[in-house]
Amino acid sequence: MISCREATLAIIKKEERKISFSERIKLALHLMICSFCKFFEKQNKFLSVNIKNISSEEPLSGAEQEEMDKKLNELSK
Amino acid sequence: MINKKETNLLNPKNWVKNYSEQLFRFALQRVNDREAAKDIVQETFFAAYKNLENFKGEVSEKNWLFIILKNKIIDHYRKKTNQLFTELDECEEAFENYFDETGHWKKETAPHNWNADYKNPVESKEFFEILNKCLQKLSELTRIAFTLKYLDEKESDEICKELMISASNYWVVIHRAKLQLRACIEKKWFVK
Repeated sequence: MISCREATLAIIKKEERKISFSERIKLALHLMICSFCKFFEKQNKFLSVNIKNISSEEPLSGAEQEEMDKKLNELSK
Repeated sequence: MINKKETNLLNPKNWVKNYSEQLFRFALQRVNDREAAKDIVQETFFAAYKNLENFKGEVSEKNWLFIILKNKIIDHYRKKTNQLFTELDECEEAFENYFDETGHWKKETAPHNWNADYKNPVESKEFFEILNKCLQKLSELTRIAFTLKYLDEKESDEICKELMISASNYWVVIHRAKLQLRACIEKKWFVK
C-alpha cells in the first residue's frame, strides 16, 4: 500500500497524465480506504480550476507609458 | 500585387501607444512584480528596435513583439530559478509539516471536508483575494512553475526545459506547492 505522501503526488501527476498504469492502480486502492486523500484529490482539482481564473490588476499609467516612449526615442536618436 | 512586407510593417514610433498596455498586462500576469514587468516590456521594445532589420514581415507587428516579450519572460524566469535553486534543499522540511515519518497525513494538517461545490468555478471576489494571498506565500520558483502550468497551460516536460530543472525537481516543487496552497485555502477560506 502506498503512503498518503505518495498518493498525493500520484494525484498531481495524474492531473497531467504523467502516471503509469501500476501507479494508477496503487492510487485507486489507496483512495478506496483513505478519506483524507479523497478530499485532497477533489480539492486539488478545485484549486487547479480556480488558479486559472486569477487576474491581475493595475494597468500601466500614462506617465509610465511616456517614460517608456522617451527611453525608446533616446535609443533611436 | 501586394508584397508581404507591405502588409506587415513596423512602426516603432507607435509601439508604446499601441502595445505597451497589452504587453504589460501579459508580463505582469506572469512575473507577479510590477517593476519587473515594466522592465521586461521596456527591454522588449529595445530588443525589437535593435532587430528591426531582422523583421521579415511573416507575422504581424504585434505578434512579433509578443514573441520577443515571451523570450524576455523566460530569461527572467531563468535568472530567478538560478538564484532560488538552493530552496529545493529545504523541501523535506515542508513535507514534514504534512506527513509523518511513515508518509501518512499528520492529524493536524490532514485535509478536512470543505463541503464545497468542487465542480464549479468560484465567483466570489473575496475568494480570489485569498487565493492570491496564498499564492504570494509560495516561493518564486513555485509561482513561476504554476504560471507556466496553469496560465500558459504548458506540460511538465516543456516547463522543465524552459526552467532548466529536472522532472523530479519539478514534481517536488508542484507537490509541495499544492500541499501548501490547499492548507492555506482551507485555513483562510473554508474553516474560518
